[in-house]
Amino acid sequence: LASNTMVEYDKAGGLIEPELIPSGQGLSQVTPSPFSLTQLLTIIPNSDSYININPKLSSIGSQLQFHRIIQAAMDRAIKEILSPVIQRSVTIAGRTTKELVLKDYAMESDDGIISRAAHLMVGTLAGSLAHVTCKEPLRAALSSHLRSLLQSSNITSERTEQIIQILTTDHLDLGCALIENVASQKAVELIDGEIGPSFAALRKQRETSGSAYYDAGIYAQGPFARVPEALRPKPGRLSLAQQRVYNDFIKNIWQNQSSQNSSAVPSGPPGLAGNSSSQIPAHIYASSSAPLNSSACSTSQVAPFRSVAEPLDMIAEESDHGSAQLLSASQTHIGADDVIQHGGK
Amino acid sequence: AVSGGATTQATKDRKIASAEQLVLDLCDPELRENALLDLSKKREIFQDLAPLLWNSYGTIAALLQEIVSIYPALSPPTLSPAASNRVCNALALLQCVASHPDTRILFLNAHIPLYLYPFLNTTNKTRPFEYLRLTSLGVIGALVKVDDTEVISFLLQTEIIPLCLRTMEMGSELSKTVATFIVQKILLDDIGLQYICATAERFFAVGSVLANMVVSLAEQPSTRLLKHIIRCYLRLSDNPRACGALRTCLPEMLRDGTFNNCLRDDAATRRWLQQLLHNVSGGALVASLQAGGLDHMMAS
Repeated sequence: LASNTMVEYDKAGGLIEPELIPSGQGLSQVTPSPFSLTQLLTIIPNSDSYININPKLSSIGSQLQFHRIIQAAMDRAIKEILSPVIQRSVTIAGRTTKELVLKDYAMESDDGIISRAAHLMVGTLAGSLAHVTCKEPLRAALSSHLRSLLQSSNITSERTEQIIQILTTDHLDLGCALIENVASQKAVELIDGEIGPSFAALRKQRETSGSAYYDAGIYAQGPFARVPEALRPKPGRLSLAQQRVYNDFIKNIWQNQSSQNSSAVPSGPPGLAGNSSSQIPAHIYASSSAPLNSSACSTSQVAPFRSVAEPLDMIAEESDHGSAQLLSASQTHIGADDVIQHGGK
Repeated sequence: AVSGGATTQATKDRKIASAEQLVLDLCDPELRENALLDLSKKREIFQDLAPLLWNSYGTIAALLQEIVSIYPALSPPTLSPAASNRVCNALALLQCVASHPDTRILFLNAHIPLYLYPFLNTTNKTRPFEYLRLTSLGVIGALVKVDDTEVISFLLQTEIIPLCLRTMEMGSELSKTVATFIVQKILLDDIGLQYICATAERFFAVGSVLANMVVSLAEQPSTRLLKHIIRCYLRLSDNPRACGALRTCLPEMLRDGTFNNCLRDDAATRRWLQQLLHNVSGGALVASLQAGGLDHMMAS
């Protein structure tokens, strides 16, 4: 798989540990990227069953026709932005998780406990980052693909822009959730490999210094010296109360998720709860994601500032019905109706 | 205001004990909100709070949860004042960590500043969002305050410049000032100046945002903001290519005495401005300006 995906290596995708590569190039030809588009796309389930076509559109074209169009637009839009968004989110979340878990579980001897905490944290962090950063790029990509698909189909109407807005608004959160889920899964998949060697080194260091996992000396000196007893990581197993912090990565972030977990999410929470955004254009991640080589940033650093005041307010105002709505046919069209009213003003 | 050695020591002990309890409380979801408020209020009086926050189990993880849990409220903008306050208290604690010499690099290594970028990318003008952007900028500001080239290199590999420029375009006066301060600090580092002047596009992105701010300052003057803008321009003029470009794109208002009144009480900034005009014009411009109002004022 790895060698095939290299051929498809998306130019927008970057390097795994970019800061390790001084020149910012070269190594990618040797190391297969875990962020190749082909590989990432295998994680995305068929979104077909989540697509709902607003009845408002029935006077313009057939359900089936719109269904096909939004499906195609979604596929293209996701392909366009997926790689850089996932790479950035997973890289950042992986680094954060590694540093914090190493610190908090320095005294832990059970790999299962460490791994579980790392999975909970990295999945949530990567998913949240991916969701919040992909929303505006996805909205733009979705609209633009819808426009060209509508133009090439028989549906031409003076209401084209309105149709695009309805379809985009109704399906944006679905797309974000799919991307969030890819980020979570990818991050969980990679984290053990990232923290494993560090923990092994930590233990080896301790073994050579005479004690298996826990050296009382570590408390007397080093970073924990100033930390009072109650606040320190404990030797051996952490208390349940302590572990709760990491467990809460699930509880806090995904508490609003729809109960309609589905095949969209083979493992873990579906991540459909998030409903957030940022307006950084997709291309910015192509080159300047989590510490990457700065030489690639020349244009992307500059471009966003010409389009700060994008006329998103109208749509944004109406899309706050949350992604849970996407899974609920009865509510799906509230937002779009409002958009139509807005559009008519 | 406490007098007497014994009393001071006792107060100090109590403070430390309560700081420890509050840090412990951060891990308990029930107690967290109050602990965030209390700790952020008292962060100045607790000594070495930053290492305590960093090294205690789960604290940074808990603060990160606070941050990502409000991502869903960013777009569409639904952030309530209470939620904004709460996350800003968490950010204030992270600012502590970012400021402290023992924790700053650990903070960077864990890439935590990047979790604030979605906040900087918002454009909503309501108070909860203004406050959120300002507090987030405060964390980055704390990082760049000490002139550490490692911090600058880290930030340059991220999207911080465009995000600061965005705030400089649409933020409140205070946010604009902090964002401009961050850009100034980046420029003052050699790597930063080199980075921003590396392409014409980068230079003009920064230059045009600075110029727009100058124009809007003519209507709503702010001495502190103007000071940072002038310092940015002056630093840009240290780069030969940028200096050449400034010959044509430096706002006329900086040359024609528009801000004389604004800078009346700020001799240092007046000197920067003069140096800037000198650098840009190679002397000729300053001479012509001195025939006008500025030197008259400077002489007094």
